Amino acid sequence: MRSTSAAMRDAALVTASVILATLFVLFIAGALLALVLRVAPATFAAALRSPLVGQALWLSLKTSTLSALVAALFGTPLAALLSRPFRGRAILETLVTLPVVLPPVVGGFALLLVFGRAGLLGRELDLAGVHVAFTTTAVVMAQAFVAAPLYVAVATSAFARADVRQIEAAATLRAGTAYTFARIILPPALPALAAGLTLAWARALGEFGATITFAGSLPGVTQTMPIAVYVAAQTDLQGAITVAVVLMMLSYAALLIVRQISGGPRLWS
Amino acid sequence: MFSVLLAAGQAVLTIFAAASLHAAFDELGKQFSTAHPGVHVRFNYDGSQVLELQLAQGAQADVFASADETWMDAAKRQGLITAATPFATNSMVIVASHVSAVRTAADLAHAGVTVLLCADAVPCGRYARELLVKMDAEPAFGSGFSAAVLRNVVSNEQNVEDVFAKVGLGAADCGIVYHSDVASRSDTVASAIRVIGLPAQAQPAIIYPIAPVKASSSPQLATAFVAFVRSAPGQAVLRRFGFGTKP
Amino acid sequence: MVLTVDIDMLAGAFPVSCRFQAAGGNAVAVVGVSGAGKTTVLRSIAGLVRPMRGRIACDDDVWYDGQTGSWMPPWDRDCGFVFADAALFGHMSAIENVAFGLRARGDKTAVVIQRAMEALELVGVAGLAKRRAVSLSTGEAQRVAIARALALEPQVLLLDEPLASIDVEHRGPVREILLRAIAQREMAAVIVSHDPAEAALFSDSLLVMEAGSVVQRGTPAQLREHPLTRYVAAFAGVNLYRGVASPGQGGVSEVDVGGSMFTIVGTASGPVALVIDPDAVVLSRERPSSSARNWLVGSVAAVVPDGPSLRVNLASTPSIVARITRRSADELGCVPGATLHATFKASEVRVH
Repeated sequence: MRSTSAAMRDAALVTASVILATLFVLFIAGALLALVLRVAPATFAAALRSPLVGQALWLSLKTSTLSALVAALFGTPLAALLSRPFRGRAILETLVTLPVVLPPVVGGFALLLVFGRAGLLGRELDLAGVHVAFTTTAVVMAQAFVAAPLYVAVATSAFARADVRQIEAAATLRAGTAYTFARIILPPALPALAAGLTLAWARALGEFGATITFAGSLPGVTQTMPIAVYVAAQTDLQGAITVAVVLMMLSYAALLIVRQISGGPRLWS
Repeated sequence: MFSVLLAAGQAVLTIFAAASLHAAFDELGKQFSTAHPGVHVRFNYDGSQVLELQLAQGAQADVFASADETWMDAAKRQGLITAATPFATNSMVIVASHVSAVRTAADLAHAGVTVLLCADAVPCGRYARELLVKMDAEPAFGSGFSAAVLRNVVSNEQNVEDVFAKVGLGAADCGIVYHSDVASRSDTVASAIRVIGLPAQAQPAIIYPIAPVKASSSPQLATAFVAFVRSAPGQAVLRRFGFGTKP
Repeated sequence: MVLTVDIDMLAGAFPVSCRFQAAGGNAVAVVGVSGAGKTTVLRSIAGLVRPMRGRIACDDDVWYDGQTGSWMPPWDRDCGFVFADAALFGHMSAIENVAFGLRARGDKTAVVIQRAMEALELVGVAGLAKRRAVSLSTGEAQRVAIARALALEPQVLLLDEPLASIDVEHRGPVREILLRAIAQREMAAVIVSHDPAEAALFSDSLLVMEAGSVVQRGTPAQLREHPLTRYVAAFAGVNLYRGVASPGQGGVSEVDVGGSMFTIVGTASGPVALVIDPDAVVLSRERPSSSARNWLVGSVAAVVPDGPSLRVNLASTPSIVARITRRSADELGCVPGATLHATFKASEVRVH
């Protein structure tokens, strides 16, 4: 039997937690609700049909999915490397995570300095006829720059959680490093990887600063949905809000779908 | 929070000014502070369209200086200002990066040239498009000029400083900016870019209006600043930074 | 085929040193308390840890040579490992676990499935083939782990407490299966155990390790008769018997151990291994009439000091070791050559 003061303390902590959590949920839900309430169904339908919105929508979906794939392709081997101890790992890990804390616009300028016409690599690429800045490719690069580190961080911790015993067992069963990784370390990590990829995809979808700096803003080519909302807000705030709500609902639906795929908690459980 | 950091008795003057006014207004602010001890002047530079939006959403400011009358009129319609007065003019030039092959205005229409403009909602962008259309009427450029140039536009930037920066980095071949942007830069930056003039008859009428904000907490200071900008010493500063005098 | 092991290494803070040879078709038991370094030796043979100096070779295949610096990674060594805690791949089924090494080696699919099923059948767990590894009980998992190591038919078989987590009724049969496989396939087996009876049942060649080095090696009888340390004495001085049991009446069974009959509690039949703790053996000058159902008589073959006690080896049929106080030994006149009676209760006999 607990003392009365212990019981009261417990109840107080639980109540405080519930209040804080509720405030936070209201904060987020309230802001989103305010957006939704400003949109009339008629304007909403019209906005969906508008070619500019359609372009931005399609561009956003295309680029963020490509960015996620880039993150998976390049990030998975890197995460596999980072999950094992080696000299200098801390430095490499910090470097790769830097884009997360770097202001996106700064990241965009950094990319310009490398890949712009007069950039470190851009100069050579330009001679070969390859133009990167201000293209859709640049959008994918900017998004990958800010979003891939999120995936790498999640994947690294997932791989690090692998059972050392099982890895040793695999070694005694004729399995080399790559075979062991593919058959023993990767499969149990897949749900975590899916979650990490979803996170990266969502970040890429909402990317603004690096994109507008490195890729610019041109409808159909580089004007992703977040940029479209920002630009539209200057001349037509109502229209911008409509587009923003479209983006919001789209992101939410996509996140739910991915959660189902990756085997997360069911919708109504 | 900023006002909390200042000692009691100090006043803060917040100026929302178009991006192209950056260097000139920094200097004007310094001179104004010297003339009015205890007054700290701080600036928010951005595209005029962004500034108007922020003011409409309740941002605190004392003075609004726009790069065109469109956005000042919008501010007036929103009840953000009472009366505006013009204080400067400007003209447009082409800036091209040294690594590009752009040497004359006609080069803008050539295939493969990358051009940066401000977005249409930004005064600089609107002016540039007006100018291009006017150049269609010039026999030296031909009626297809503006269409060709617009095809070469790779990005619509949100303010003129971004255009200038990216051309300076060599990320794009060229852009259309204000004369004041070029005149106020130091030599080191100037050496990275090539300035190309544009025909006078194609220049749009660029008028910069300024007004005290109605909701200002220091209306006297705001009016004083506006007066200073329009005064002879203020005009001298603007001229030094490449602007034309008030019409 | 001869497995040569000669290693020196550091396991954590303390040094581990071990030298021995194991011939194909035979098992060597490395015994000692936990932390003595036995598992480290096993892991270094497998290639999971690298020694500081020494040599490990399987006939002409040099797996490790400290002098030349040559090192063969674990996956290239023709050796199988049974971990103490099975270490099955949880996300796979039992048969997929067994098939893993065969697939990794590059065997063709049809052959893989066939060999995997054979291995599971050999160990008697064919019925678990499709079951997910995480759903198996500890004993079932351990048997699948044994099948997994045997499936590759390695030249060297390393076993780390292989039967510890297997239920008692299956231990005997699985032991027999392992011993048969070792003999038939001519594998050199190294088994690590902290259980003296287990070690003796597997092998006649014991290596006793204490604090990282081998303190004595020999047959169980040699260790029992001439123990060099207290631990060796305690370890080897375990009464282990093999016999044939037949169930009796009233909840007991009779076990024929080399001509003598032991009475044990419980129903058992067929080949059994029995263990009797020396502390449970009572010595007397004459045959006592007591509740103890088991009786042996013989002359004292040796008396070995063990701290405040003595271990008395009695040359009875079969021989037995009793552990008594010095005082009792004096009172009994316990000297080599003296005839003494040994008795112990049926309930003191453990079926191993």
